[in-house]
Parts: sequence; C-alpha cells; structure tokens
Amino acid sequence: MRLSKIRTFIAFTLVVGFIAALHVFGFLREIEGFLRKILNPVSGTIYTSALSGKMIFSSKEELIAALDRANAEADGTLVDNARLYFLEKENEELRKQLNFFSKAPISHVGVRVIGKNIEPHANTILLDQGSAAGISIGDPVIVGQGILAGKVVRVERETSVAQLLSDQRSKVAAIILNDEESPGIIEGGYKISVRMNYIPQNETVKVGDVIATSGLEERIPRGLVIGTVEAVIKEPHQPFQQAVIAPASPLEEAFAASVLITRTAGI
Amino acid sequence: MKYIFRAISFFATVFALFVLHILITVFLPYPLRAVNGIFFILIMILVATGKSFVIWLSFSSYFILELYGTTPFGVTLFAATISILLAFWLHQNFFTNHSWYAAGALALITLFLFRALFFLALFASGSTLSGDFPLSGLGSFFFWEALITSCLVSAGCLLLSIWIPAFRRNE
Repeated sequence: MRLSKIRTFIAFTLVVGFIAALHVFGFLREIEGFLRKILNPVSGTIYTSALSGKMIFSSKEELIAALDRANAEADGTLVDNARLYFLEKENEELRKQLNFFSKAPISHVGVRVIGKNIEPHANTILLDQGSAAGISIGDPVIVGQGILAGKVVRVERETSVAQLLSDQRSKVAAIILNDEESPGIIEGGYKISVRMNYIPQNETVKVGDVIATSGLEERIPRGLVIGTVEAVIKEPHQPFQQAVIAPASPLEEAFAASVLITRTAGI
Repeated sequence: MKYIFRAISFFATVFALFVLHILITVFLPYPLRAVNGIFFILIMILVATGKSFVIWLSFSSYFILELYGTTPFGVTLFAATISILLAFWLHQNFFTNHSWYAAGALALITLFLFRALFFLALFASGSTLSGDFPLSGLGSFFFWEALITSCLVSAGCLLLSIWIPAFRRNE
C-alpha cells in the first residue's frame, strides 16, 4: 500500500516535470496558444465588467453619471450609453498617451489590459500583446501622459504579463524632483500604495514632491512620472528615510496602456 | 457516449474553475481576494465523491493558470497537483467521517501543504525567497487564504449537508 502511494507520488511529480520540460522547450506552444485564444476574451470580459462596476461608484460625478444611465435605461438606451461611456474613457486615455508620445518619440506598442492578478498573491496585469508586437521582458508599461505603471515580466507570443509598481517584487530606481534630486528605490508590497526607500537621511523631502524614474535602470527611461509624496517617514537612528507615494494613476484600474519598446531603441 | 459526456463535463468544470478564479481575483477586495476558489471547489468535490479525478481537475486548472503566472512554469502546477493528491489520501485514510469540521481541517492542511510545496518548488527552481518573493507579504496572504478557504469549506459542507447526503457526517 505504502509502495503504491510512493509510486503514485513519483508518477505525478514526473508528469508535472515532463509538462514543465515540454513548456520550456516550446513543444506546448500551439496548445497554449489555443487555450489563450479561448481564455483571453473571458478574462477580458470579466475585467472590463469589474472596471465598469468600480467606475460607477468611485466618485460623486460617477454617481451622477450612473443616475443618468439609470434614466437612460428607461429609454432603452443603456447599452449604447455604456458603450459610449467606455469609448469616451478609452479615447481620453489614448489621447493622453498620444500627447506623451508626440513630445517624446519613443518606440512603443499600444496594449489593452485584459485581466489582473491571475496569481492572487501578485499585483500584475495581463496585456493583449506579446513578443509578436516586439514586447520583451523588462520593458516599461505606461499609462496616461508618461506615468509608469510597471514592467513586463513575462512575454508570450500573443500576450504578456506586467508587474505593477505595487507588486511586492517590484523595484524601480527613481528620483524626487526636489532641489537635490534625491535618489531612492520605489518598492511595492504595501497593498495599493508604493513606497520610496533608501532616500538619504540628510535630504529634504516634502509632501507633494513629484517622483519620476531616474534613468539609472536599464530599459527604464528617465522622467517617467511615478506619483507624488504622500507622507515622509524619517527616523533619526536610520541611515535612510522613506516616503509613502500616491501613484499618479490608479494602477489596478488601467484598461489601456503602452509598452515602451526599449530593446531595439536602446534608450 | 458515457466517456464523451464525462470528458465534456471534465473540461466544462476546468473552464468553470478558471472563470471562478478570475471572478474572485478581479471582483473581491483584499483579504477576501485571498480565498482559493479552486481548492474550495476541489475539496468540496473530494468530500462529496471521494474520487481521484479531483487530482486531474487540479492539474488541468493550474496548468491553465500557469499560462498567465509570473512564477517559473511548473511551480504552482506541482504544488497544487501534489497537495490535492495528498488531500485525496488524507480523505481516504484520516478525514473519513464527512463532517463539516473534518472538511475544514482537510482544507486547512491541504492549503498548508500547497504553500509548503510551492515554496519548495520555488526554491528548487532557483528563485530566491527573500529577493524575488518577499516572505513578509506572502505570509499574510497565505494566512488569509488558508483561513477564509477552510472556513468556506466548513460552512459549505454544513450548509449542503441539509440537502445532499454525501456531505452528512458518517454515524
């Protein structure tokens, strides 16, 4: 009995190992691509529904808009209005990104966010473009007018996964836009906020100071906005001070973004 | 015909588990988002049927999730498959009385095994736990995952025992 259990245990371990090896050597590419083609729209639909639910109740204006939509429902035009609402939002987001890229000519790919946190212990978003569009691991993902949202950490042919700044594994070199241009590291792992650690103790950091990427990190260009300082944690016995950062854009509510293609551009 | 029907229901269940997982991660706030919907359903099926196909359900569901994960491929797949295999043996040999508290305990132990194997596989894959995966953040997440999921399994078994005899405690 015990021997048969050991055999079963080894058999399952070998099956998993075999599947992992097939994946690593690319033999499962076709099957995985087929599965993604079926599952991506499902994930995208659920994600969009979640965002629409959140948008209705996130502010007073949204509540008024929800009331208008409720009135429109009586006229039977709810579906059209909801579609229009999302198109307007998407249009606004794309305009912002277009404005950013007209000022800073960087090679980029426009992507749609089709899911988030599929590994629940991580803060990640799923993008609908992959290596076929030129995306590679380490490329920065931006929203709005040059706001850094995260970095690409996994790339498949048709999809990619980006790690948000709020993810506990995320680390980005940044500077505070103050007189001293104080350096530090932006780290996640604090629920939806991020913190800037390793800021030299003797430098002056104020609430409201803007944080941007320093350009010291490979593939992350200088000057991408991250957020503003919300609070400063300074303890005399510590060699560094820490700042709590309010991200410039709600990282987990992005529905359209751009990936900066840094490998070929060499920026 | 019977086999075709079985295959269709198997793949439909895997698809439903994927949808459930996405719904939980997208709609629920933390810490409720920590609930492991797949394990909840798999343990409920295991308690109700006692059949070994839950191991293949676990394997197939986590294979799909691996397509979107950021951990090295195979880590979560290995941990999930082996922990459900161990849960199957535990259910056959220890937690045999189908009570709500036995189901809750089984869920708790299974999730503990799942995360222990997850770390083991992660370590074997070459990821450094302190660097790539900070333990402090993951610890609280896994605590909530185990607590909420095992409570849900207990509550589910207690509730379903009213209507379904398979969830009733053996006298």
